[in-house]
Amino acid sequence: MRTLFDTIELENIIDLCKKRPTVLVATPNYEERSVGFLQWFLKECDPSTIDPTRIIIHLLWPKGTSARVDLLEQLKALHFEKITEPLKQYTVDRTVFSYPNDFNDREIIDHVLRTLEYFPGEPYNLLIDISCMPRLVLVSVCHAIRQFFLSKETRQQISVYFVYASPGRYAALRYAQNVGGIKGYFSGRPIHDCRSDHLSAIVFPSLQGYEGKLLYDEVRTRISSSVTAFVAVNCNDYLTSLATMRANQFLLEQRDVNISYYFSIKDGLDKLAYLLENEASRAAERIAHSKLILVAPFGPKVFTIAACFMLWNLKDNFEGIDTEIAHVSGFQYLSLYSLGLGNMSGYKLTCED
Amino acid sequence: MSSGFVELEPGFIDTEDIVAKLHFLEHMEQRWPYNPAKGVPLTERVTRSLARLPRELQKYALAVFANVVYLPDMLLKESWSYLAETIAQKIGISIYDLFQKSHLLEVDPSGLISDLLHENNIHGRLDTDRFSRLQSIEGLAEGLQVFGHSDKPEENLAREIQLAFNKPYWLVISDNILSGTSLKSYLNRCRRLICAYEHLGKPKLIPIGQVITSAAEDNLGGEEEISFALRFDERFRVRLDNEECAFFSKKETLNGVIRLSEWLAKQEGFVKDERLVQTIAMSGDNMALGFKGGGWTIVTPNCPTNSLPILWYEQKGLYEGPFPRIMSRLSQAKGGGEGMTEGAIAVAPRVLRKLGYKG
Repeated sequence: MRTLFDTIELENIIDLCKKRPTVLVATPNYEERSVGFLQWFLKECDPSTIDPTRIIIHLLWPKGTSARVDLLEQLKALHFEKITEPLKQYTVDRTVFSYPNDFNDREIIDHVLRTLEYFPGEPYNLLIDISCMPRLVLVSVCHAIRQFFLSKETRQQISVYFVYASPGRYAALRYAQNVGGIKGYFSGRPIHDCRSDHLSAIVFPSLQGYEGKLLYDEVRTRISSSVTAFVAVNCNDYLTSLATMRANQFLLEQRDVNISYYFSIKDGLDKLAYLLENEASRAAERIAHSKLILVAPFGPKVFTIAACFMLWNLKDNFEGIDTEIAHVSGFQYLSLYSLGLGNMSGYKLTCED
Repeated sequence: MSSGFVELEPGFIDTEDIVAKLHFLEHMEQRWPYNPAKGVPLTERVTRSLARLPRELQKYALAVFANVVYLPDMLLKESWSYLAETIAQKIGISIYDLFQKSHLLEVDPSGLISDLLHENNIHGRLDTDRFSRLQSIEGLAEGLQVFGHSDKPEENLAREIQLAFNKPYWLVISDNILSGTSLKSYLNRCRRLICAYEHLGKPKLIPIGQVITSAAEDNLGGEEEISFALRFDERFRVRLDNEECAFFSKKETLNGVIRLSEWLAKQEGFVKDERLVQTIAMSGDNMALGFKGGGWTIVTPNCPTNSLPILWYEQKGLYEGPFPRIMSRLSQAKGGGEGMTEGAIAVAPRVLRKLGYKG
C-alpha cells in the first residue's frame, strides 16, 4: 500500500461533494480563519445540486482549562455565530475534547473512525479542515485515516481531502519565546531518547526560527547525522520569505546544513518525497546500521500530514528504518495566534495498492 | 566591517536595521558567493565602495547595500522544477510531455535551457530528433535564411526547422524579466515568424522567467500569461515618492538613496562611460536608478542593469559597486535581431516551397 499526497483546487472538492456524500471535520477555535473554510463551503453548497442531508459536519471542539480560556471561548463563539444560520440545514455532530491538557489521542482516532457510521457501506468524501487543528490532533486524525487505508474495504469507501485557510496575518510576537525540548509525535518521547546509528533530519523552518536552531543543536549531538532545511520562497511575497530566512539565519549559516528552496506547497511536497526516497534507499544499502529519518515540519502545517503518510510509506517499503516527526512544545505568549483570513487551499490523499 | 571613514549614526543604523541586514547578506554570500566579485569578501567590497562616496551620502549607500535582494544561482536553479510543474499543470500534461511537445527558446542565451532540462531530470538534451538546436529566435531566423538562400537540400537544417515549428508549444525562457523590453520585442519576433510560417505549425507561445517585476508586467501588457518563480512589486523599488517601498523605515532614507543615485549618474566618468553610452540612450533617462528607471536592488548571479547602478557600477578611480557586473551588452545595438527576423520572413515562400508546401 502506498499513499500519495497532492494539491487539488477547492472548486473540484465542491464538484466531488455533488457526486458522493461528505463528512466535513473541522476544528473551530478563537481564530477567525477557523470558520473561514466552513463559511465558504456552506455558501458554495447549492441545495439544488448538493442534498444537505448528504453532508454531515463533524466538529472537533477543543476545550482548554487555563485562565485565558474564557476570553478565547467567547471569541470562538463569536466566530461560530457567523455560520450558525447556514449550518441549520445540516446534521452537525459536536465532539468536545480536552486540549492541550489531558489530551487523549485515542479519543480523536475513535471520533474520526466513527465517520464510517454516517454512511454505512456507501462511498463518501472525508473532508478535513486543518486550518486551526492543533498538530497533535492532526497527527491523531492521520493515524485514523491510516487505519481506514489499512483495511481494503474502507480504503475503497473513502476519498480523503484536506483543506487549509491561511491567516490574514500572524499576531505580533511581543515577548521572547521560551521553548521546551523536541518531542516525537509518533513515539511521544523526546527525540534525544530515539536511538540510532545515523539520524537524517529534514526541517521546514518556521517564521519564528527558534525551532530550527533547537533541532540543529539536538541533531548535532549525534555522532553521525545530516540536516536538510527546506526553505519556502513565496513567489508573490519575497518579503515573507526573507523574514523566514532571516529568522533562520543560524541554519543558513551552517555549512553542514543542506539548503533546498521550494516555491509552492506542491513543489515542497515533490522535493520532500524525492529526498525521503533517497534517504531511505541509502539507508537500506547499509543494513548493519540503524537509521532514524526525522521530519521537522515547523513551517506550513500541510507538511505535517505529508510527513505522516510519506514516513509510513517508508516504514512499509524499507527495512531497518525508524521514522519520527518532530514538534516543539513551547509556551504561548501570544494573545491570539492569527488574525483575519488569507488564502484557502486543498489537498488530496490517495492510496494505491 | 571597517568604518574608519563612515560617519556613524547609531540612531540611523538602528532604525534602518543596517547591521543585522548586512550580516544576513554577508552569510548568504559566503555560502553562495557572488562570482563576478572574484572571491573578494563582501565586507571588503562594501568598504571599497563607501571609500569613493561623499561622506554625507555614505550612510545611504549602507542602507542600499543592506537591502540587497540577493538571489543566488542555487535558489534560481531550484525554481526550474517548480516552473515546469506549474506550466505542465496549466496545460494539463505531464512534465515529460511538456518537454516532448515544446520547442525551447532562450531570450538571452546563457545556458538556461540546459539548467531547465537538468533540474527536471529530462534526458537527451542533445538528441537532435527531440530538441531542435535552433534555440533562440535569432538562431532560428538565421537558420531559415540559410535554408532559404541555399541551393543545396540542407537536410539537417530542414529537420531542425520542422522540429521547431511542429511542436505545439514554444517555451520562451528568460532568467530576469525586469523591464520587459527584451521579452516584448522577442515575443513580437516569435509571433511574426509563426505567422509567416503558419503552414509548418502554429505553436503557442509560453513565456517563462525566474524573476519578473510588476513594471515588466505592465510593459508587456498581458498578451501572453507569463509563468514566473519570483515576482517583485513596488515594495522592492527605490523611486521618488514610492510610498510602498518596504526597505527603509524613514522616507528621509529613501530620499537620501535617490540623492546618492543621482550623484553617481552625474559623475562625468559615468555619463561618458563608453560601455554605457548606448544603454543610457536606450534607457531614455540618466540611468540613476538603473536601466529604464528600474530602481531594484535585486542581485542575481550577474547583477542586472535594472538594479541601482550604485550596486553594480564599476570604474577604477571613480566608483566600484559591491556587485560588479560582467556586461553582456556593450552596444545595445538595435536592428540585429529585427533585421534577422525580417530576412527570415522575406524568405518564407522559398523555405516553404523547398519543404514541399505549395501555394
